[in-house]
Amino acid sequence: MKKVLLHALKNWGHQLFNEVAEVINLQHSKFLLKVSALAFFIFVTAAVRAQAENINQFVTLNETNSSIEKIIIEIRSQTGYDFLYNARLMKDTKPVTIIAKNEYFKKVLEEALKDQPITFAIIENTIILKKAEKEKKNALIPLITTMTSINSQPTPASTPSLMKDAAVNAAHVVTGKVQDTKGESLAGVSVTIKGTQIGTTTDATGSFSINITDVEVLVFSYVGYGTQEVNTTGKNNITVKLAEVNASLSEVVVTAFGVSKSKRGLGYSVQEVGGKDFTEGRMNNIASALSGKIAGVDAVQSNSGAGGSSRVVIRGNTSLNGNQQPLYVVDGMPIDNQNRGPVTSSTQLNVDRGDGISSINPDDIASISVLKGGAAAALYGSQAANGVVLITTKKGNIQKGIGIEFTTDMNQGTPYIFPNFQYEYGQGNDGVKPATAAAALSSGRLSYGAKMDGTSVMQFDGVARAYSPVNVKQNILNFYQPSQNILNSISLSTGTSKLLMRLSLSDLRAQDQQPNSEFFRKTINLNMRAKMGKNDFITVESSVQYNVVKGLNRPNVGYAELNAAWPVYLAANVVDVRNMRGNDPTRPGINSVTGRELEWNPVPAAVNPYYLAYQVHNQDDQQRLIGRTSVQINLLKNLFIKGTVARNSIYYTESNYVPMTSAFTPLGYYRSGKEQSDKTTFQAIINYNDRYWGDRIGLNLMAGANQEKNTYSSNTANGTQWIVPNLYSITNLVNRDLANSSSLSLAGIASDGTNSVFSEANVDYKNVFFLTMTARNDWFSVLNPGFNSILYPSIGGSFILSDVVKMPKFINYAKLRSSWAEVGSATVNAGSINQIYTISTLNAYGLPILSNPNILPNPNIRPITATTIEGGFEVRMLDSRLGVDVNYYSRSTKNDILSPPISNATGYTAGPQNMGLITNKGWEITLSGTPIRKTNFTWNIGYNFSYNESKIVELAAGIDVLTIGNAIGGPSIINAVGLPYSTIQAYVMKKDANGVQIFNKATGYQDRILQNIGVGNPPYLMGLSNTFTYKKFSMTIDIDSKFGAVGYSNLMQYATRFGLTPITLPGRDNGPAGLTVTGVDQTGAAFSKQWAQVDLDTYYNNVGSAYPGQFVYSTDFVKLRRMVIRYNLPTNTLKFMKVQSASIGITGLNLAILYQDKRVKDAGIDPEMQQTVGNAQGSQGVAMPTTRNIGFTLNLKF
Amino acid sequence: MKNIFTKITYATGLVVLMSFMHSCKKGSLTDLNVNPDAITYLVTDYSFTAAALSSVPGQNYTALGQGLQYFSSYKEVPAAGDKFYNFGGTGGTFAIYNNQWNRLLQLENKLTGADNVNKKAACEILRVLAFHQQTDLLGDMPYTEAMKGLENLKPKYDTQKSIYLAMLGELEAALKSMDATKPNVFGSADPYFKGDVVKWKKFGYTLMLRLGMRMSDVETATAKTWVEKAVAGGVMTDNADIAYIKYANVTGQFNPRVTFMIDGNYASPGGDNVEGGKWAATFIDYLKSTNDPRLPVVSVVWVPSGTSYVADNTPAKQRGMISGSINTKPTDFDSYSEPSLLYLDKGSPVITMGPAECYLLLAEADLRGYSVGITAAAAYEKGVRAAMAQWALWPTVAPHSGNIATATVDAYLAANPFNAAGTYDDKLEQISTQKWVSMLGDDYEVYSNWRRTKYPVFNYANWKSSSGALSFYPGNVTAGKMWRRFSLPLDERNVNPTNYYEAIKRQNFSEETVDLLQGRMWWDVGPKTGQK
Repeated sequence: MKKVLLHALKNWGHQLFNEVAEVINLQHSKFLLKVSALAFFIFVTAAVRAQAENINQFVTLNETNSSIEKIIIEIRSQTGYDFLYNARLMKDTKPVTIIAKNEYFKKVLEEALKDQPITFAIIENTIILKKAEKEKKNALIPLITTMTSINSQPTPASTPSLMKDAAVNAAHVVTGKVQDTKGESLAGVSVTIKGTQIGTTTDATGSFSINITDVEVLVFSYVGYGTQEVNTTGKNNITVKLAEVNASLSEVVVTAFGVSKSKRGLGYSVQEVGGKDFTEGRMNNIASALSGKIAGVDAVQSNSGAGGSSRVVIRGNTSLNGNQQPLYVVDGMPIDNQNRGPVTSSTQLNVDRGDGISSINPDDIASISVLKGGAAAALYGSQAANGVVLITTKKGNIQKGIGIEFTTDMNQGTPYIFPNFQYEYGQGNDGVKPATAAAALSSGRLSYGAKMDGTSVMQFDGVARAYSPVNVKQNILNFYQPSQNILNSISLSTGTSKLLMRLSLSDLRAQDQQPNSEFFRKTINLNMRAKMGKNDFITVESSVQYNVVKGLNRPNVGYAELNAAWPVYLAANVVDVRNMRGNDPTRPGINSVTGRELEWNPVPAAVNPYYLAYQVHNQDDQQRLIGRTSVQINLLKNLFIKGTVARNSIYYTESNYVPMTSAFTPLGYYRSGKEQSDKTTFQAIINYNDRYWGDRIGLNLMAGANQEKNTYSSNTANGTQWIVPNLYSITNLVNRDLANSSSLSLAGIASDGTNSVFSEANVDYKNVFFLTMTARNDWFSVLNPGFNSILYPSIGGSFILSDVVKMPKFINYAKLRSSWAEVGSATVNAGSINQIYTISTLNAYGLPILSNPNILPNPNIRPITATTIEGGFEVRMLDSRLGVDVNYYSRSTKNDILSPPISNATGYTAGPQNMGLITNKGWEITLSGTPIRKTNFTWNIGYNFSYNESKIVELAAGIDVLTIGNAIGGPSIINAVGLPYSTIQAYVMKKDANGVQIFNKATGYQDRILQNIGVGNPPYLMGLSNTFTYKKFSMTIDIDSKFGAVGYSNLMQYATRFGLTPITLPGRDNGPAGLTVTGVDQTGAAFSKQWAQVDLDTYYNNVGSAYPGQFVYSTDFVKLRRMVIRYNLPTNTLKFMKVQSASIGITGLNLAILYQDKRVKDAGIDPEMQQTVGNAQGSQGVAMPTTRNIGFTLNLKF
Repeated sequence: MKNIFTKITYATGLVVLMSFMHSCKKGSLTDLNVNPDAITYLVTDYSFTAAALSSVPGQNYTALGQGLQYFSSYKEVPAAGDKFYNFGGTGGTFAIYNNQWNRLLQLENKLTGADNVNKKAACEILRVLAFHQQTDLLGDMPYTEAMKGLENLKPKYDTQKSIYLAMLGELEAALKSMDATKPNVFGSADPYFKGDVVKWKKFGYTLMLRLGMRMSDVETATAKTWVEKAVAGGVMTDNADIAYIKYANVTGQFNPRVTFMIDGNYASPGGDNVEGGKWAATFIDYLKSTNDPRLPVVSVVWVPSGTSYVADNTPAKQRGMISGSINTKPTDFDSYSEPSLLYLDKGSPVITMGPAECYLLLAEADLRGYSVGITAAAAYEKGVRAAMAQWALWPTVAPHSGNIATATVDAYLAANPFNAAGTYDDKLEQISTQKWVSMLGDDYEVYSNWRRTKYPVFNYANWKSSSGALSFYPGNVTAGKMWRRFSLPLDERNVNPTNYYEAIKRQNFSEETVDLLQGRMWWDVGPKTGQK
């Protein structure tokens, strides 16, 4: 049955193809319309072909007066060779009689076609029939050109009639092997017949097989190796050795517009990371996985759940308080990376709903290259001011049949960092154990009680339990469950030199540590590239990506409200969190008597964690469609034009509710929102290249225009007070507030756009000296005419020192490079620089009211400029086993557009202005080496280091300090003139010159002073990667490290206020007398004050809350970030499954902290303490525990 | 073939070119910058409605509602003014400038010409009304250099005295400019008086009276001048003169104060009162001691009846919770009085200023010897009557209609007559205590009045220690003292530091709360404190 179906499909395919060919020939004008049908057909054909059984060379026929078609069908079924022909050819054929027994099929075919107006040619497994010689001008020829290349490698198509001799000369099969100079097999080497496009590629064992005629020469070529030509005359089996060429000569990297360029010609630093780094030991967000991988790239992670967002900053923060994150470009076109991460100081629902990049499937990534400098990014324009992360997705491979790749990856995360609290004195107040349930409820989070003695003491739920330690570690392990990420992905790919196609599907299911909290991501990605026409006249590339992301009950971070972590970490130290579940198994967190939230402490905002996990709800869904199509037309050999259109559409909904049983919002609360945003980009470029003066001078000129438009619309509906329980709909609310948006600057509907023209010129002299110049002009819709245009240039050069100067022998390659670039941008929101008024009808009489925005309008805003100068060198030595790349950069951003807070007494809270000058200067060093390279064992090391020094040189006239964030509990994160970016400013206890504590005489508390404690962004970043390969085993170990920054832990502040930290122990063992503090008062006179036992909670509450600077820690760390042990299964044992390659691996993420500051270790907190992916880095609230993830990965290729 | 492709190429090129020409057409880029949710011009009527609605006095539930012993809580954290457990609710803001003043300034700039004098004057009244409340909390503030936008990003602070004198001068000028023959004050867009110029004038002069009385201790002569000017101009005398906003029990027209209280505290009868809002014993006991007919209007006890609760407003059953005394939910929590459903009705009004306050101010003015044309006793009685009558503005919600019968008021006045024979202090205490009851809900004005007159005298030492001795709540942060000011907005430290620190130094208080917020206003003088 299957065979019949396949044949039917094949016949249909062939017929369709022939039909299409007719149409193309007869109706030229419809050609383009048919391109897609053709492409689809090619894919189907290729797919069908993959099913072909083993090729048999011999046939047995007994045909009398049979039509040629019947004979063809017979030969096809016996041999497995395909036939390709125009049905009209058969009109002129005559029936034949053939009797053959186990005859060579070619002979049989020759016999059958002897007197027919048809000749044939064999290409790979396909037999092509065509009209005989005299009618050679038949329009079929170009069509055959298309067909012949299905399974061949690209070579310059110089012969118009490919078929010229193929059918006449006696053909034979040449088999062989391709190896490198050390005898290792090379897979995927292109083998072509010289002067044709006919060819094949070597398989996994380096073997190939090709049908050729006696006189033909085979061309062997492989990326990174020299090309070799071998004359096959009289040979049936050959072994070819290819020599490795200096890698730096051929190394290409993806640069602007997805153009691959030879790395030697670049005047700036570009680093590339392969796709494997994102799929083995994977993180759900690929941007977070950049941590430690690339010099100068700071990737931040926060414990905000499985679908959390990322923060990537390249070469330091450049905007005073705008977006610092790079532009993400997928296959040449920008995507929308809108961030829905948590904020620093919110006291409400504050969850991380991910970002644009977190919806990308890591399995689709071929490589990521990071364009760090302005010159690299100059052509992407305004959005690229912070650098560009270029993601190249996987395309189909040139291969026989369908390539199927299947990956499954599972990992489980468990907490491994636990706070160190005190367990000497238990729950209570004033040194007394709670006597009643009410007293236990009042001191639910206070551990200022008596010494723990194991006696039976009443707890918040009216049950008496032992007055004994309940370690916070146990509460963490009891409340949270191991997180689980399960990812399955499958891809189908196929391709020829004319057409590449890849379809991938992936499914990620994540169960977070917080019960009932889940995250799902499904992606579909279809990629296609087709080259059409003679000399690849037209290239069409198209991709469609559809991602669906869903978050259910994402965990809150930060403050107590709606945050399950808060009680788990901060309940009094004799309370077992499991008792907060209550005794109704069907309704966790509910007090079965009252039917309302089971309260465990007197502050309703500090929610019951089970109530939160099971009764309170938040949800979000995001659908993202990224579509992109480009058409490139090669007008001449060295001139092409290319048009691209891309669209990124996001439809997003979110809702959250609190039921009417909540303690904090007793009547309930609901919020829902919808957003639709679209980013559309049109681009056209024209490119010309040539070499002059006897090939000495190379020239590449490019010019283009770009238009980008963003539209955004949103609606929110909020309300309080449910009418009936358990119906969570806006219709069930007493108080409703329907609005498009609460913020005036970004109202319900907004749109913005940028028009641009740009050009680039590349000149080289003998491929040794390179010069690149670019210029771009942007017009921004968000600025007013007259101020909205900016022209910015870049220039870069490089030269290959090792090609000019005689170098010592151990140096294989040396290059110097330098560049200067400017990038302009406009970062204000649409409609925000001119005076507006909004209208609403929410008032007493149903009369409309007009509101004034608080923002001081400033119509004269101009674009921002960022200027970068960089220089560096690259050296390869010791047989290219050691590579060194050193780079220095200096970047300054001026005229930043910001709405700094101004004294409200001006009449406004803020007003946009062009202000500020920030500089970032730094070094980036990358080392790569291969200490051991043996036949069976290799060891590769990659190391990167970067140092960035940022400085706020100036803000604006009259503004010296800009607060970019306020942490809960007091510290501010500021940008102040003369200081680096994001300085943490907090109160500390004030000492006199002799170090004696100063007290405030009136209150008896320590005097305090505001201090700049450190920076929130680490200036030193390091990454070390080791890869060991032994036979079929490989092991990767990534170490990631950051130094020089500090972070504030709000957890430790609360824990101190509540008597959980050892800081609060002094004075407790002193009976009613308590603690006596001594020092001096503000006048310098001696001071002492006694805090009686009953006042100790008040005293330590103040110690905890008034001097938050003491909870600022050094965030230095060295972490064993990732470890992967992989085993490549021997494919011959899996041959029965037709497996081409298979690997299994054990993966580990965040395995160990190799170094951390002692205070951090003593406190028992994660040195990577970031709550937000926003600019206010350096603060952490109370969040889910950090996990160590261990997993398993399986990869199969068919 | 080549021919075909050439054609296609030209066609494609043309299409691309056309589309760019189309998209680059003049103005299209700028059009994207138009905010589709807003207009670019000011509609004076709508803006004035917004200004009037924003002028209703706010509520400060924790720091003042509890500090002035209207409400009491057993909880710690929300107990800012009950136990002084923290400084919650005492952080001042400068929102007055960018909200109300900016709106009024832009409005006044549009109201040029002789026909707009009444409208402009009304804006001035609203501006002074809003600003005095802020300076009464924060002392020195930017005034003469304020509201200059980019022209002055760092305005200097003026002394409170100079602000008061400036405001009074500006208010007088505005009132004098009013002319009943000119177009009225925005007609139906005016939620206070539907444009009635005469009523606006009374409102303005009553405001002048309030400001004048504010400086009665510190600048007696000046106070006298302004109080007498106000009386001469014509103050509120009748309940019809009252300035209030009438809300409605319709979505979008709810009383915002009440909505806030319900969401936080009074979700269900007999519930938890999450932020701890029971009526305080001080308040309930006083109303009971005077047999005040307002007690059954505002207060109920929720009596369990089967599975539900019934509101009982019988005065004898009312019971307030002692302030600063309880830190664990008492077992008899349900039996303490709560605001009545009438008080919590979403359609209830908010009074901005009325004859009750006006008469009580006049009573005190007479007491101080100012010439106001009415005796203290007569003014006191009229004040009480006006205060009782204003409850009729509330909607009828069982168990009380809000209407207090004249006979009941007569009986109350007979039982609690003006203490004509008492000392000056006795009389001042009586007037000020009556103001505390009559202006229930207007926390900020009652707070200012209490700081100025030091009456009623509150007792904050209710904490019973194990020995039985009463003391301040042990966890308090103010040494048991009620704060006498709010802190200046800390943002000013960053955005206007020189002037901010200068103002702090001049007023001799600490930039934050380490001075326990005991710094006094310019008009808050004398040895008394208003607390035991």
